[in-house]
Amino acid sequence: MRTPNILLFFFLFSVHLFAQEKNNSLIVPAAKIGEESAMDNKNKSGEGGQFSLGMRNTISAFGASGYNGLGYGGQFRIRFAKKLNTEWYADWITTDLGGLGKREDGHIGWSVMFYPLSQSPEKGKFSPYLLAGHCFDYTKVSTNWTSFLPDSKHRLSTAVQMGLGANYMLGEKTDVSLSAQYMSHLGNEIETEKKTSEISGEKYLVINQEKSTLGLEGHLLITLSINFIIADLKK
Amino acid sequence: MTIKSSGIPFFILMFQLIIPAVINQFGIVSAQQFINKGLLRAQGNISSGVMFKSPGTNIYLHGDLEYYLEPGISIRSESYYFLSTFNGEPAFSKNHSNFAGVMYHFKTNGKLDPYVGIQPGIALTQLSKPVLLSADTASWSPYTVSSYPVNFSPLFSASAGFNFYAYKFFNLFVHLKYVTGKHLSDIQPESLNEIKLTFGLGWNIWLIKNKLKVSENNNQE
Repeated sequence: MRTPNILLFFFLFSVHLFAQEKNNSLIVPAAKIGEESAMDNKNKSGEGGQFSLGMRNTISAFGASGYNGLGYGGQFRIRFAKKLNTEWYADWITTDLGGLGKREDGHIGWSVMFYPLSQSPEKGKFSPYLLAGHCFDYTKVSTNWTSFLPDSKHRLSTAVQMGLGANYMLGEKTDVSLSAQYMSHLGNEIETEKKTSEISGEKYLVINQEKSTLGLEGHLLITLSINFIIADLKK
Repeated sequence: MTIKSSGIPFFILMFQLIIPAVINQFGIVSAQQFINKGLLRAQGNISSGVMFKSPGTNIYLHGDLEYYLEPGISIRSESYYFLSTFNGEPAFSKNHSNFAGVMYHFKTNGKLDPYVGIQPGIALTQLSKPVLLSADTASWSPYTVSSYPVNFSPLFSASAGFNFYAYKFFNLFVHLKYVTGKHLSDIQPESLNEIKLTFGLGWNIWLIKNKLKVSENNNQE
């Protein structure tokens, strides 16, 4: 369970050390020249080529079930140009269906991020962006034990998403990003319906799945992520 | 002064006297901030946690590993291994969690290192089966038929605390973490919201050679 994060940590800082070692070999003794070199690097940092890695929390809201879910995941970003970035992500989101069941969503996808303002990613600055992309999804809906036997259904689907976001540079290589995207899933429909037993008055959940028909189902994803630039692919 | 009429101004006065004395005595303020790029710190200690909606205090083995990418920014991975619950019936038989995220370190002029941070996380959780339901005479309910599955639950956490880099290789720290999430299984969901507190001794080394000199200089001061 703990292995992935520990591996991620070691990967992050070993790449960072490697990059540091590479930079140290190029350091010129004169402090002034070093400062100029740092300034050059800062100016070039917005021109593309940065590879960053990060973690994320996602809130899934305004879905068909009417309940909000919380997700955990990670992403990497490859910046192609000053105004163009890409994000490749994976999320695992769980949603409590009113105490009567749960919904689990797995997302693997990518987004293109477009920065309309020509602003370099410098420490202490906000960079707003538009983003859009698509992803592949796994959804499983399960009901809890009540007087009725539990049930579960699942599906695979594909989705498109689009939204707005902004990142704030905490440091020269670290940013915090907040984005909101509307995601529309194309797949066979899984619907949940809350019912009340006429005999006992107990509430329970019924899952309906139409395997033969395709439908669209949307939800809003609000994502808070932390990203670390760990390599410059253009160097 | 209203020292006699109220205890609060008295405490303020005491803090005004004590804190500068502590700062002078232990070299908290020096010409240069201790933390910098290349510092690696780790710790393994016992942590306690209080859940908002479950009775009792949880006990964990808590380990973390942190690397300073920049003077004010570090990446930090943390693991909490659930041991037990005391002062109340345990809601969970398993409540292990793992986090990875970023810490922002405030600028200081010395060895004190206050910070705040956020870390997405994931928990491996399993509810405890209530003791009363283990008897054959217990009436049927969702709690008697549930399989009490082990689940992965996404978490969000926010942290605050401070490190005090007392010596070249070790530090003292206090770490407070707020965790929010929900355990979903095949019965009623259970909140994972919790405040966790860890304090104790941590370890640190410089991984970048030129930073080692800075640390040595600081210790000589």
